Amino acid sequence: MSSILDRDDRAFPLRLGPTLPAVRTLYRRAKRLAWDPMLSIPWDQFDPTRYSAEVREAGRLYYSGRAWGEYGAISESPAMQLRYDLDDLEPDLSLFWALRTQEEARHAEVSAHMADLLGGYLPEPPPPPAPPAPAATAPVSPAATPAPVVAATALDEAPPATGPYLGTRARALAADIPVEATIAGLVCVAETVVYDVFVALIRELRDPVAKEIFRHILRDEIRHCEFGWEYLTHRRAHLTPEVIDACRTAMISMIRDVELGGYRSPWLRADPDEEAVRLERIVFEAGLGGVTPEWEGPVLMASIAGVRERASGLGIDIPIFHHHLLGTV
Amino acid sequence: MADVAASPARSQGPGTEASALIPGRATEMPVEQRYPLDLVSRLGDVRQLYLDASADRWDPETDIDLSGLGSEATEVQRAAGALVWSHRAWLEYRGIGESEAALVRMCLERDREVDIKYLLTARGTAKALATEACWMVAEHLGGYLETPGSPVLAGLLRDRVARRGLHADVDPDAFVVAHFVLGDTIDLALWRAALDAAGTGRHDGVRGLIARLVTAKTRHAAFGWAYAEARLPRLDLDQRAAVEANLTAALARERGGLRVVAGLADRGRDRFTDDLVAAVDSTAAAGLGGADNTRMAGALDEAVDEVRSGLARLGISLIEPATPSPTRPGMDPIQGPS
Repeated sequence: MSSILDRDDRAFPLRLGPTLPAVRTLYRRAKRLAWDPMLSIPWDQFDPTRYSAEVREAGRLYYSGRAWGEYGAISESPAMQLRYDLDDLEPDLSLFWALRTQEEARHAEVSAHMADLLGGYLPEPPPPPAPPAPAATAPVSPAATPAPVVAATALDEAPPATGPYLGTRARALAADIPVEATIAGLVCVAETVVYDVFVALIRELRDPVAKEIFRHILRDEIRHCEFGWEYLTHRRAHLTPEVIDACRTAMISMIRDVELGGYRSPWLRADPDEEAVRLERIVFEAGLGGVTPEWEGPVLMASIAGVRERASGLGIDIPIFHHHLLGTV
Repeated sequence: MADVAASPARSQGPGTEASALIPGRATEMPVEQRYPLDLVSRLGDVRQLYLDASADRWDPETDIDLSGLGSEATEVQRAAGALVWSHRAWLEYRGIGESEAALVRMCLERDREVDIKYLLTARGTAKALATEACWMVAEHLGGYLETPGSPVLAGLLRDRVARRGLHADVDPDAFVVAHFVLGDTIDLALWRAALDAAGTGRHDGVRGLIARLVTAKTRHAAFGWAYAEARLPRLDLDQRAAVEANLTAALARERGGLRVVAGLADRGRDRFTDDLVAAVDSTAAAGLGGADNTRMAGALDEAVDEVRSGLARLGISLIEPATPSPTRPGMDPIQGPS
């Protein structure tokens, strides 16, 4: 796969005036709503003694996981700015994205700090549970080999592609993946779903510091989501059928393989880590964050329906999915 | 006194940015190993710079008052000012990609402290705000110029910094030291000269803007030095050679007119760059924000001397380039062999 870095730099002209008013507006809001991770959150109000040792342990894992996820946006997403530049796209995108990158750093920082307050940030996920020992049975014939387990399928769509899922950095720098498709998957699906879940979650939070963390993150994430939808709306009239199809493919993959596949919420996996699910329930019931399947399921379904509707307005048809727990999505 | 001038071949050696630009070579990137992911602050100095940057929030649209700037200048002087501030905007915009590329690279490398990464996110924000601010001033003075009319200057400004930063063959420390020690020390020195220029003080708004930019650029240069002090003592001989060779190439860009356009050698000068050089003096004299060419050249030399002596204490030599001008493509220490 060729890299956009093999291209020469964009030539001038460099139009620094507002050429995408909607994106420029998001950039303006980002400037005015910047906040300080250490000063904007009332950290001194956090009282760990409110929580049992079990809740604190579950909480530190949850917030450490939040930090890992946000770090991905620091490690991978800046490559999108390089893509905007090398694709000769409007500098409004680069101005906005530069601020977005720092916003993601704030999200990582506050998540890691909360993990510290709950008992200490964890630098890596715990090892997955060991598979059960095989029962002593007769050898299984090749014909009886079970099919690969998948959490979700898209009705009337091809099964998931095999091979590694390309992360954002790789997608951003891949010359044959349209930037619109990467935005469609990353922002219009992944960030939109996270935003919808957090909007619902903040109503469930009872810890004042957790509430402020999520409130500040949400205030940034709404702009991140709108960036994606606004940009695709701007580009809609110019998209070829091939690019629209690439957007559709990216969005389907993100919904089916990442969201419904349980990358973000482990309970959704076909083979869930029951301990991880249990720990998130503890965090949720303590009002610190987390999710439960019965709570998040309807939120997620509504979010995906919303993505489908918005994508339809852009001429991108998202199919119905079937999930082994959620049913028809 | 500078060491013996480095040959172009040395500047294209292993680990240098020029090695990433050899024609026909596809970009290869390092492979990230994310876990264990250390998010604990390990570099206190860099952490403090990030905290300072986080607290230093401002908006060019609302915090800078340009009203009255240029009201006493002639139309020709205002046009000159617009040209100078346009050049500054092009430089600052280049700094956004430079920051983002460095951030991605630091995340791809093992064991780079999170303080560095957080600081680089703040640097990207600062570059975006500076870009916007310089564009605003250019617009106010008569109109931002979208294109430098000089192919040589355009080439210096659009020099594939992302590929340089991300190519696996480029030593990441060589990249960081060239851009964030040498580049940012020079950048700071030039803006300090602008702040100190007598004419700058005639307008509170433009002086306030330049003061804000100097504050941010002081942090950027400090970051570069903190990084150098943390990393350079750990390098082996080959890595040090790469850092030195890369520094020479970066110095060639600086001496060759990237920021101080008067530095373009005769073969790189054209009508546009002559106009820009004249505009620098005009802008300073008219009090539209900036130092004249003489002060800028002096600031550049002093900054280079500062970098040379500072790096010498860390065991790194800053060697003058053999061919400071980017106008001899066959011998170009920056772009590699043509």
